[in-house]
Amino acid sequence: MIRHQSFEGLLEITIDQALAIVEYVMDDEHLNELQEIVFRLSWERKSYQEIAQVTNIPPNYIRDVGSQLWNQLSTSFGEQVGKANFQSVIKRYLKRNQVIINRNQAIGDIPKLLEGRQDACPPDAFMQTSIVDELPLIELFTQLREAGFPLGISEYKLLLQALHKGFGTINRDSLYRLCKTLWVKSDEDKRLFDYHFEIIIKDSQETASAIPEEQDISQKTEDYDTIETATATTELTTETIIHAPQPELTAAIEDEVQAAKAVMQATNADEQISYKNFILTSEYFPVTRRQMKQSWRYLRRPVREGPLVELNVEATVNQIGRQGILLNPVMMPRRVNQSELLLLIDRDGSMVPFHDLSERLAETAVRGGRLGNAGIYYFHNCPVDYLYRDPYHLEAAKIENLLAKLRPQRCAMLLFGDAGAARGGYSEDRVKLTALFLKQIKAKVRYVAWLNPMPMSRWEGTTAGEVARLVPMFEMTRGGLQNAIALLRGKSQNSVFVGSE
Amino acid sequence: MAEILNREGLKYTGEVQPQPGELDKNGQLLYPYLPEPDLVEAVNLAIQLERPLLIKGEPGCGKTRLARAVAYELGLPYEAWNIKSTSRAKDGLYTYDAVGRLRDAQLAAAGRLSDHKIHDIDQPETYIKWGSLGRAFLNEQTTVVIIDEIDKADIDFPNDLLLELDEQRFVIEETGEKKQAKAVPIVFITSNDEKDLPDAFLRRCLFHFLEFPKRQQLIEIINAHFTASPERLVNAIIDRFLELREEMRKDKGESGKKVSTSELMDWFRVLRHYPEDQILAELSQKLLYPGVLLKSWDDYNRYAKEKRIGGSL
Repeated sequence: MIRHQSFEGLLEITIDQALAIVEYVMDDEHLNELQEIVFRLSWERKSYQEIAQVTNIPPNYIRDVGSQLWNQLSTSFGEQVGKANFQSVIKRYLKRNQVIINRNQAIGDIPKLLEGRQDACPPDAFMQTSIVDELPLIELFTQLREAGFPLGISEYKLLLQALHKGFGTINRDSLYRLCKTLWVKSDEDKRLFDYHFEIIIKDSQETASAIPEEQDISQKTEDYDTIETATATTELTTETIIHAPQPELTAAIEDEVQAAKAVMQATNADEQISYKNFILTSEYFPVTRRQMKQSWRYLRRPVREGPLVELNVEATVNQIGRQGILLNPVMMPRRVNQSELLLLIDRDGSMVPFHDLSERLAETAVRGGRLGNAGIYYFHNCPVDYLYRDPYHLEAAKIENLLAKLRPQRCAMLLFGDAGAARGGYSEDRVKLTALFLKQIKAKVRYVAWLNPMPMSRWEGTTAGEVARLVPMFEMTRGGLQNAIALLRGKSQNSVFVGSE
Repeated sequence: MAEILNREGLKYTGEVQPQPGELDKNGQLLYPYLPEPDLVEAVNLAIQLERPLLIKGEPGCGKTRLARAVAYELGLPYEAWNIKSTSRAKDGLYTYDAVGRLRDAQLAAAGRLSDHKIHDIDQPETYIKWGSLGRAFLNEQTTVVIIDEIDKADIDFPNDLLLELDEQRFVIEETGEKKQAKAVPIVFITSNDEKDLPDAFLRRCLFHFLEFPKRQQLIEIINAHFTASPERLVNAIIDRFLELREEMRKDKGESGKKVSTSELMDWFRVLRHYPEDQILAELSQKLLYPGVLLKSWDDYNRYAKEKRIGGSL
């Protein structure tokens, strides 16, 4: 959503651009001088009174000119335009019908065109720079953005540039390949992309029937209706998958998969077609995979370590100063990222609904290269004596042995578990065992944080509430994850770990 | 303007192949490279849009070879930058020999340098050694650069390259000199996907996933590398190879290490030294020279022996 806003923000246009658009919409009927003055000053949000003062023209007259202008614009834009809303009307028009944004120099040309009024040539610059009179594929682009693709306006420009150079214009397939090369950056992205491309490009084909070689839909008229319904229903399902921010943790993905399956069975017999219409995303919404990836990147601690390979210029110069001659240069180790993370994950029992989430957390941590030689271990409820190397609690490792291998002053530990908040209830034993464990690791681990998949409001009065007093505990949200990681880097204010006495 | 026109003429077709035994300037043997049509399209797109092309795919399916093939066909200079785990972004641009300069300064103070050398000391570029990317930027001609296995470096490495790849310029910190690329290089980047690349970096790249070649392509590749190979032999070997690959895929899933094109090539190179009849007869019995294809003890045990048992029954 935030991304979306920033996109809109890019639609800032100058008054000259706005004027150019207005005249373009009005079929090149130019505003007269007074109209233009009113337009310009209104754009700067001046009142009629102020305009009258500036121009030395009676306010009543200005008002007349204004209302006449808005009337004219209302006809041209096909909607009610007034002094209050004309800016947003123009911006909306701009967004709907690509006129500029992608080509600043085109706009640079427009004021020049306006100056030379006598030649009433149409603003060719518009036509040249926009491939068609509307933003091609803007729908696909925005859909992908909403699906979380890291695309910005420059990526869109890139598409226009490529289309302009004749790429992807032969048929649907080549267009698909073009968009894929430009916008898809991983296998996962590709599945999402395929899905959106399928829907959107098929849509435009149905309305405009621009691409004739697409499938044999017209032949299978009986199937056609079923496909239609399937598409419609999926659109609904994906709406929920993609748009809804899903505040509740309990709405697990499995449900959606099930819903999708149900719809699939209900609407269509032809599995081949319906399968394509569904996308089974495994994204978990409080924190998406991409956000986790980004957060892990902050966990770093540059340390100079290893062989002496880099020249220490300062020390060398100092040494020359002392010895009067360069005998040998002073070398120092290279700066490397040294952050070791011990990730402990609670499995089974009340954590079953969060297995997907914890797996993703573990996977992103590994792929982010953040673990050093510490690694991921699993436990159930709270770590006692043993931790497990695998999620199924088969390969046990004694906590003492594990701690012996850690390098103190470097290792940070992140626990992921509900600490009893999922089921509620309070267990004195569990608190004590957790406290014991935290005390045990205190000597070896510099920073500890706890991530809880249950929202903070559910901790109070449960074991989790008590555990949160022993160790900094965060909700599993984007902010929570970021705070936890900041703490693990030693950047947070309450970074001094207070263990139980 | 000349530059733009220049670039418009650059179009990769994938059809121009070196002659067998042809060597490049450094005496390296050149090999034919048979790209898929959509790879060709992606390459041309990258050339025209002046963006780096990020290539991912299974190990051994020709990610690295592509850049050389493009350079060969377009007749452009080629620079390879092989990333190591200790590589820093600056290394690809230049390294500055501060120690050398210090030494020369001392020698000059002691009056033991020739006039010519003393003149050199004041030249800003005397102590700069250009890296691959640096050389490509300074070359008047468009250069093909490959940044090989970028995922081997530290995770911050790609981000340190953003400015250079985006704006085609860099600054020599030691002298304060600013360098702007004379011709925008054609950059290929390969990744084995060991680490995720940062979004900011991905955003600036075009992406292509190199699929494993189909049977027909494999035959073409083999024929291009080994001219005049008997058709029956090629078919038999490729069939056996694909069979093994399929077995591995079933056992290990999509992400496991499977036999690759480059291993097929090695295998073929070994096998063709033996009489055709003998190969054809024995290939159905067992996996000949399994050491060429199977690189782990597990694989060796499972696939090399299984067939032997199957053959003896």
